[in-house]
Amino acid sequence: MVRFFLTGGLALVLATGGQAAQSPQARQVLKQRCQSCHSGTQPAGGLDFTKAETVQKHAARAVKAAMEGRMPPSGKLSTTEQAALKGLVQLPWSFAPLKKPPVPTTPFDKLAQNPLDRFLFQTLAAKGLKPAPPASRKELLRRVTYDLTGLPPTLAELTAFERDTKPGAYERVVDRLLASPAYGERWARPWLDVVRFGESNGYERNLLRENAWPYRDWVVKALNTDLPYARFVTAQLAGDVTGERAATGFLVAGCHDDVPSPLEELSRLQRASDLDDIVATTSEAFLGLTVGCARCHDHKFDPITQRDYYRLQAVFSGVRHGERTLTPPGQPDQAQALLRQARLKTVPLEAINSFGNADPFSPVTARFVRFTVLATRDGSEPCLDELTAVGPSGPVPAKATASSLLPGYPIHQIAHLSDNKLGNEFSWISNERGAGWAQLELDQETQIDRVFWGRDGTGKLTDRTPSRYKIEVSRDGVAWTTVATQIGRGAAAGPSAEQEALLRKALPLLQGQSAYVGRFMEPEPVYLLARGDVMQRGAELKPGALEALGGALKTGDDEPTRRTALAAWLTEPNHPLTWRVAVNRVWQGHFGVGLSSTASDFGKNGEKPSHPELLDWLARTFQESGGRFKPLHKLIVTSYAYRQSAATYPAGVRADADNRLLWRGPLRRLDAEGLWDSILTVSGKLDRSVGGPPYRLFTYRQENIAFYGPAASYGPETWRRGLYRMNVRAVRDNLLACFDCPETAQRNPKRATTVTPLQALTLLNGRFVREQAAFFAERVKKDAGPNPDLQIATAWQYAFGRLPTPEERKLARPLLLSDGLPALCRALFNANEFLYY
Amino acid sequence: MGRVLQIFCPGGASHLDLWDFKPELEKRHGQPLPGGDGLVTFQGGQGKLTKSPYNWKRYGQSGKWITDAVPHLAELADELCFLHAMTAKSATHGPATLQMNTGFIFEGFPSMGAWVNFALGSLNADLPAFVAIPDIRGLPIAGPANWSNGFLPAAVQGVAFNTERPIPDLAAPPGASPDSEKRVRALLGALNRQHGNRFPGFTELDARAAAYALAGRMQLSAPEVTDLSKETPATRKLYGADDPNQYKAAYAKNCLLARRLLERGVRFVQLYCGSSSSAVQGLINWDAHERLKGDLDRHCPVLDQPTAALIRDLKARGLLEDTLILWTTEFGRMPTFQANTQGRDHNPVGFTVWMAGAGVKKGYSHGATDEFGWKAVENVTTIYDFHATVLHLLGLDHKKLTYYHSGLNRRLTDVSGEVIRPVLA
Repeated sequence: MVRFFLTGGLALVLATGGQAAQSPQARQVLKQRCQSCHSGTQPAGGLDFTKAETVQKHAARAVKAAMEGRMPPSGKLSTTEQAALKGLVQLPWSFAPLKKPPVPTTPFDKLAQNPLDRFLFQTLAAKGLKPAPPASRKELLRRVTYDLTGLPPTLAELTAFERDTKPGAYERVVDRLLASPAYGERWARPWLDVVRFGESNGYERNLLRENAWPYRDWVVKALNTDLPYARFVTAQLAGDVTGERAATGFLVAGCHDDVPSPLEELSRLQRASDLDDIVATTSEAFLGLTVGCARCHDHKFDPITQRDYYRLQAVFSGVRHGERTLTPPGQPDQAQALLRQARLKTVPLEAINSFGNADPFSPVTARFVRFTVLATRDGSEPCLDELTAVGPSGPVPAKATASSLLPGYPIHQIAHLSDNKLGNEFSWISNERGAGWAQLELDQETQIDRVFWGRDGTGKLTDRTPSRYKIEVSRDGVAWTTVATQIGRGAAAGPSAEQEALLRKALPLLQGQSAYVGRFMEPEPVYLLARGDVMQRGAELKPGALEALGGALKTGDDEPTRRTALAAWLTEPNHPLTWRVAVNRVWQGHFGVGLSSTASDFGKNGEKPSHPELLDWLARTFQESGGRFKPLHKLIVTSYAYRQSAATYPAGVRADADNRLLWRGPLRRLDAEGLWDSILTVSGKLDRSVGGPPYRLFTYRQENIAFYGPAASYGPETWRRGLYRMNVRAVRDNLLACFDCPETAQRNPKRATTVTPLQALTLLNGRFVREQAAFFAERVKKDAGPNPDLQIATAWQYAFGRLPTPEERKLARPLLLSDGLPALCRALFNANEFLYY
Repeated sequence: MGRVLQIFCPGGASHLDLWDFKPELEKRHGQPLPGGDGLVTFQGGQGKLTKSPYNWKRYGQSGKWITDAVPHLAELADELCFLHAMTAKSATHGPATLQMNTGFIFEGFPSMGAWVNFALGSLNADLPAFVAIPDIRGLPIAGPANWSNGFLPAAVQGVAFNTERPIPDLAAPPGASPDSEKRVRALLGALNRQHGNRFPGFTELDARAAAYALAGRMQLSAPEVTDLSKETPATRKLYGADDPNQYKAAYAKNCLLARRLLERGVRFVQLYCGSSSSAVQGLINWDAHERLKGDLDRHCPVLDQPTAALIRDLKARGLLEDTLILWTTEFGRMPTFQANTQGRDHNPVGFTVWMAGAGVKKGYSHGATDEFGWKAVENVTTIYDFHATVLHLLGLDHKKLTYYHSGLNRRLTDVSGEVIRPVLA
């Protein structure tokens, strides 16, 4: 019997007694073609199809009769009607009510670490298989460290674990890893794949979204703080009202066509595509259903009507692409520190530029430094935001004087020349066109060897920049020696990538932070569109969810209540999809494939789970721990199944080559970002700073459309985790693309694992690997000294977390001696043992 | 020993505007499709029967009716062998595309190229045995699943590249001597063998070893094979490699690349003409729902001359004798226009593919759709039959080419498939 559970004022239709809900299309056919006879006081054949229980009971018969053309007497059902009627009996497995099944008893229960194992053992036993022996401590630590943090364990961690013989050693490791900030970084990545997080608009212009990253940081933080899943869902749909403003980046993380169209049809289509992207992503990510298929017609396989689709569009019809302010301007001190850092990173003697200049000279002892402007680029009064003399121990404190000051502007002051603050707001302008001097009196006589100066350290203004100048020093303020002029300044250059990265951090602090997290306005009306055609508007639809699952939403008058109502519906404790989908994704993250392998399609086209009861048990257990991911991870990684050795054996391979039944522990190749992070970790170059603006592995030129090129070089600013790479649509780094890093224009529920010669080529010949192999070699040399055997041992320890065998030492020696450490290190980066965990 | 060139036109190329002439459709243009009431084949309701906007003409000795949308291919009518009564199991692009390429509508199954590679191996140890050449506009729907090894050993999967995105990092960097690279690989090989000992049957690791070996040989062979500058101006012109239409020129270059790969012994080349995106249906692939004429006017010239040139060129070089050419798409289109549109909806119950070359009857047509070109009615063939025939032409028995996977002896043709004997020469 179909019943309504009321929770929080929301109805969720769920079938009881093990019966599934019915598809609305089927109900429609039933009403139109069957109920005219099968209803009333004397229903035909005694079957009243207005009664749900009668339908449930006789569904199979009714469908068969209709398929064979025996029913209805009014004429055979059309193909479409037939297909719809099948929905009476064929609903996706995932629509069945979520229950907590009893834990089975199995022959291997002695080994079980927790109930999860017993579900797995049950299928193993049924197939005549048995669990594998446990993994070694080293294998296990490597596996769990990669799984929970995306990084390899350090040598110290390996040693500590191997030595910790006290009970609970492994559990302590798991707790430590789950508490590490790297945990959120690791698990944010697959979620960002699922929600098609990209940092450019896509379409033909494909302009960058400079401020999309706060959403990425929000995901990391949400995971690290172990936000309950219901809040995780709600924040992403309605973070503007829950106080998690950056979370709504979820809604607008997809492509967006920003070319305005003069045609009504195209404008409507653009808007419809934006909404389609939000509806399709929300449904796949949280429901595991391809609702997007119902844009033009009822879903072909699942009980999702076109009406459902447009009701969901109405939920989001107040959402627009664009930026919102996250934090107001402030924090000028931190910003200035970053600007100063950028200024001091100026490469000496490049062409004059407004952003910052460095004039080096032979060390000289001085009390006074004078910068005399002989001409400006535009002939106007010159402007300097700072004049800094630097000696061996860094910038020298000083007081400034100047030849004159442009009157009437409080932001331009002589004192600003030495106030440690950069930018036009804190600058000096002379009162002489193309001339004037600024002078520093150092606090004490000091040795100096360079002067930094600039016009606007924030990189915005370029006018009033001196083009001819001389720099003089003096000990007494009387006798002056010229130490530098513009003569000899090199070819044109802008801020370096490193300086730009600093700027990108500084400017939001100065100006406040906007983020690409969507804008909210009065919802526009949403109509059912015939065949999805924006020009063929049907009935206006109100917000709602899937009718097959009781899709009534309790919305209020305000726009955000549409989204909070959907979140409440999704996170209803008895929702058959939300919880199953969530735990299945976590399972996939640990074992490489989910209990259902189609993580974002729990419909009829998706794969039925290999262990349906386990999936349900996990979903309920997940709920019971508040929908928190960390306990779920802990449950999984402390299971026996997870702790098995990954070694293969013939009986297992024969019965289940894909290891879906888990007759051995998981063995997986690093994903693209995992590989990137591991190479940097081993080379010693990984910058572990968390969050903030992304780095770029491409060059960018923006005209009417954006032009991208491959990165000219990798440098320290790109040596952060792969997560912090700017995810531009249609632009992929070759190394990462070769290792199946997906295109962010599409939602990606699961990464592919291909094996191609192209991977071999990029790992052997690619610039990134070669550069990092050289750094790895330097690190080894520094730590091991000149002894070849020690070098080999050290390289092995860094790359594999173990010492080489005598045999390996023998193999490595000739390569080391004839080709050097970098070649050896490069070979290790290519090894299976490095890539698989 | 046979080679295969599989051309794939993603989106569902219309048999009714290219290859399958239906006088009755011309005659009853504008009338309703009998039995089409309330029928939704995929996207929308049916409009009226609609004849092709292109003109039909008879070509060659065989007198084959073909439209002027593909004049160059039409001239080759006497080389081609049409299967006019093909049927697919899905009306949806993703599953149907996968079915044509892997036999199954789900991801995870080996593609035809992978099976052929698995069965026959390579004719040239220096190049991948199976190359997929994606359209420069992007990958087809379901992406690499179309050239995946599925559950077959990972080494048999297709390697994807084209002339716009040639093989990156192919050259060893300056300063690396060949001897030094040899020593790097030797150490690597030894380490990997030792590591692999723990994981027999985990074929990904074996595939890595094979991929490294192949990569090394490709470094020597690939620069030559991808260098189209050696082609004569006459050849480039024949293909249209310098055509002002950038997509035609790009596809033509991919055709040249295909020939060079086949010539050098690549066993299976999959060549795409069009890419994926349901969001812009018809624009970058053959999914002509709304504006059939506009879409085909865009796609036919891209396909026509270069493909015809490729066939002629293979023939001139004596390669057609042992190269099996397959022209494929995931399904056909309806004889009606969709209600209120100028385009045709999906039609998986009747569509055309063609074959040419090694072992195939020339200037022949097999099977037929009904009088309007909707349903396959005569000598109906399935994708299983098609695959069985391809394997047969390569000397393989589709019932015996199996791979044991998770309790089943898997086949390209699942549990179906009959060799289509009438098309054998």
